[in-house]
Amino acid sequence: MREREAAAAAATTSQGNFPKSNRNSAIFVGSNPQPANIITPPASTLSQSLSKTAAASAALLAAQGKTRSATPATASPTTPSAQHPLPPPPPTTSNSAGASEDDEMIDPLGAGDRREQGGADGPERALLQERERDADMEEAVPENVDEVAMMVSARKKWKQQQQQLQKQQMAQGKKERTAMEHQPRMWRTKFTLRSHLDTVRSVAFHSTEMVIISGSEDGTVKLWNLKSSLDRDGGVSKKAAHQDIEPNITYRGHSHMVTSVALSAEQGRAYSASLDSTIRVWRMPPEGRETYAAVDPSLNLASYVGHTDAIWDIRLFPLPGVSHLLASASADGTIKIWDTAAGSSPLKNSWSYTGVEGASMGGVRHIPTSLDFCPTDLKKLAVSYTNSIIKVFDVETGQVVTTFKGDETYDNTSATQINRIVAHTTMSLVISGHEDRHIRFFDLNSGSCTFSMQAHLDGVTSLDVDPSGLTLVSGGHDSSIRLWDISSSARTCVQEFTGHRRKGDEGVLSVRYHQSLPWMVSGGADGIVKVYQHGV
Amino acid sequence: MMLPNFQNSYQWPFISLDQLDSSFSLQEYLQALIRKDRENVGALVALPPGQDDEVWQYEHLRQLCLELNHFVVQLETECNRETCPEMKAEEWLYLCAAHQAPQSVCMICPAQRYTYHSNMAKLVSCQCCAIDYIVHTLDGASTLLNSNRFFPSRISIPEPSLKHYQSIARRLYRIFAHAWFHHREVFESYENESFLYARFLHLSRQYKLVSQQLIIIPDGKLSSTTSRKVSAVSPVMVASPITETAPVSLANDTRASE
Repeated sequence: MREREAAAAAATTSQGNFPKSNRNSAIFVGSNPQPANIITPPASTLSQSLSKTAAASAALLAAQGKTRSATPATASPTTPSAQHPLPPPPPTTSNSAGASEDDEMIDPLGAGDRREQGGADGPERALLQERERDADMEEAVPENVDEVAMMVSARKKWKQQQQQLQKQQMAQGKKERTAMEHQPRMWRTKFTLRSHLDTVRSVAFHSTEMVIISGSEDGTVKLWNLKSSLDRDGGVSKKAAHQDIEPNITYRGHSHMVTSVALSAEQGRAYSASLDSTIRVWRMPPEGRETYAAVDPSLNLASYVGHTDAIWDIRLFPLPGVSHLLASASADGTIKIWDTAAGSSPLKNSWSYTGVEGASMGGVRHIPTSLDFCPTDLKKLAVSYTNSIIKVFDVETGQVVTTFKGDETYDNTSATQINRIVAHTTMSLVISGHEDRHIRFFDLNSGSCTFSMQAHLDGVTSLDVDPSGLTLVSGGHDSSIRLWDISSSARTCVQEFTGHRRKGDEGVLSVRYHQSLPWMVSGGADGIVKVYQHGV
Repeated sequence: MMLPNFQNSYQWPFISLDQLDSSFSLQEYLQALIRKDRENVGALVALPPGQDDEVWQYEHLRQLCLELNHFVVQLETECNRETCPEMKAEEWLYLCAAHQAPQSVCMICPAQRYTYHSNMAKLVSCQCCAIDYIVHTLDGASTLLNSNRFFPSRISIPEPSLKHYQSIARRLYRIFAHAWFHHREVFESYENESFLYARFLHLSRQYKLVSQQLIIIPDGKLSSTTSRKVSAVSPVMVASPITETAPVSLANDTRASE
């Protein structure tokens, strides 16, 4: 059963936006083998052929009794690990009930273990390690006692060598630290925000502060101000690490599930769109407001009525100093532009699939699923549709500028539609996430598809580009959140972890970066909002 | 529109419980049952075979909070500080338990109970008007039901957390009570569509979540003339937080009066 947003077309027969499909087998990350083609986190190669560096360092760490990052690195699902003297993998799959969600850092790439062994004795050491591993195996079945004894003594000598080396490094102090610096920075869960009673469909960050807004299927929008939970350095304060964090305010007003939220720092407002066809405008609460303060009806600023069917996505114009436009995409087939600064009649423009001037396409209603303004060309608005096409419209006039063909794998059902598009902040690029697991890259000017990859084990639901423009984050129904390095043409996955538990065949539904701080937020089907920090 | 009634939403076929395969299977199942037939509250409350009744109550309470959110949206149109400056239902007056009570505060109570702090007894009454009480109660109940400390898992409930069910249900009942006595039309129009109160009453009776003397909405409630009057012991009965067994605010759970 797929609790996707089933067709919200009120009366007509047009295909729904995300109709259901009946699935009984749930897909869990970690228990399935990685797909064969594009995604190659080195963990899979690790499991196939013990690559020397990672395995060598893992064995090294184990020998020295450290199990911190080695454990998840070699916790590859497939090998029976007779060769690895390491503890069994921690339960990272989403179906372990009551699995702790604190500070999960899953490092399947073993990237944390790759230390420079240094010098010429690298290969020899690696060879010795392999012999040591063989020795481990043989210890279980001692055929030739002498040989075993030899190996054991050789290993002891080698261990002593290692300890001496380590003491040297410790004595030098700074050298240790540079070795640590080679450890790449990873995303780790810092906050788990529980308050919604149903699936969280959309999350958003404040542009400068640690303030999050989340919209859910329970019809509420919650605002979380995490500033007081951080210490002076920007990390999590000790008090906050143990307490349940409550939302600062719960906005009630929608009569149906909330599909998309946006936060405007400059205006101090939150926007939310819902299946009830309205966009609501909320004022952010004042700074010192306590959690259980008196209800203030003046925080419900406005309700934009105009759409006649569910609204799937809203976006604010990226330069709020220039204009306060809000764009919305709805199941009634139209894109509407609203001026949020206008007092009385905010609706500025409205157009359908063929643009403002095009004739209606008699009967077939194309439903937009997602939209984004293009920061590299502010006149453009990119919109994706259920038929897997992306169109770029002129924001002022509503005319079609370009049509991308993203539908190579489209098969006329919603199983191959586009779920989310995002425009790159600095490059002329539009990236789309598809229900058929693909992520595709398009050039904004020419409209051609420059790259296509199978990114997840289930539909891709959410995308975001980090402020530097070098990394893409994607979330999918396979419950995983994946980070991709898009600065190179290889587009490798640099980190992957399980984000949320599945409900109704849905997993992660929304992932967003903070625009100025090293934080990321995600919302999922388990009703939880998770906040991650990038660090060592 | 009040309730999810988009014709094409949620249109997948009904899946029986044994085929659902996730940590949230009971929640999905309950939501599917509600979509199928809201009115048959007996079927909604009946425990599915082989399921843990504590988890079933938990899912029902969660779903109740979820649907009460929509009810509050309706109530907010006519319940505010001017119309209902106090949280009352008939002659019952309720004080909000969602605030952290500092040690020196004691509450008005006809039984004349006070807590003393350095020999000074102060009488303080809660400032919450009806809509504040309702929103705080709902927020507090949602937070408690989501709390990792008291309800860490969706498939089994720790023994000490079970006592929260009654306090949650008791407070949620008051939302219905206030609406019935003071906002009759809103109550009836929402109830006709959702049958939420009927379901809640059935659940509370089956699992003894709310004691009979606290059920002040008369049976046969849709009639405008009250058929049965609840006799109150004194003109103003104050339900004091001191008598509550479970704290709603999570941070402060070691109040001396509890």
